[in-house]
Amino acid sequence: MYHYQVTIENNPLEIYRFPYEPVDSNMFFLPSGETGIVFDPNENDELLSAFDQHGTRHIVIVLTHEHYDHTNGTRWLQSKIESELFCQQECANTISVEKGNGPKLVAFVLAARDAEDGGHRYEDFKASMKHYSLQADITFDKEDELIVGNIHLKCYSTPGHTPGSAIYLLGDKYVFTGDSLIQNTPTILRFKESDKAQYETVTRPFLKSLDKNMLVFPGHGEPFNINEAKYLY
Amino acid sequence: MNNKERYDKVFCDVTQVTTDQLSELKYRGVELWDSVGHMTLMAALEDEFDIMLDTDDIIDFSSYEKGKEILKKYDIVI
Repeated sequence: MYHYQVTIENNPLEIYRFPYEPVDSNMFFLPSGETGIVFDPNENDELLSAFDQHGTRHIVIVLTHEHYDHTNGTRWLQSKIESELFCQQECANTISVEKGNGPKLVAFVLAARDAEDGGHRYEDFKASMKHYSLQADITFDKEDELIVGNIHLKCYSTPGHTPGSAIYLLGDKYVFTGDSLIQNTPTILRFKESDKAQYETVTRPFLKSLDKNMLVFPGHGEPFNINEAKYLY
Repeated sequence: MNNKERYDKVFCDVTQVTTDQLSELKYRGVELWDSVGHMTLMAALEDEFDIMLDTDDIIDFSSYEKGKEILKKYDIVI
């Protein structure tokens, strides 16, 4: 678990990051009073400890997109605390059926790594692999705003990596990008559900329009300054 | 189109090879059949033949020819 202290319009805000070890995808927790936001849940008891520490009684679960490594802890989390599930409409459509939450990509990535170094990641993953569908409570189309406690997010549809990808701005200094922007890896636009043209016409221009000093909390890896994104500009 | 033609078309569309290259085609044998291309290929085959490939089969799907054996398990004869 990693902890960051940020400031939004002179108000301090804490951000916790919990990597999902198999593929290093990120879950984030932003507490605010008795409520808070959790991005892209994975199953991690340290999150529950953070809830206890902050007296969190209710959360909004926010998804950056519909891939397994960003949604697999959702049902676990829903069983632990009162919550609502928020995401882009296309994301909601995809996760509403089991096929849309398939673990096959993660499984294949792990098996490929095993083939290179003789590891046993795939067998371990297979034992805990989940099959599920999810029902979103609140969705948005092109853009929206989400207010949870003192946290104010601006939400934007950013198709390309997946149809339901979204980016969330926190104040004018911070952005949660999911897999639409990762520091040292080109955004993957070759999945069957990807749309390179949408990324190039909608998402990339939007990302390039953001303030160059903005701090990115990405879908994988550590936070970075947006002007350090290797494949954006 | 028959099954063989449908199978070949999916491979050619995803990996951007020509039909005469297919019989020797293996995972990572061409640039577009890398790990991302593999998942795209699997999803395209699932859609084309209306099947759900098991995770173990996706991992074992190491070549064009091996894929034919795997699809037999789903009653798809190429």
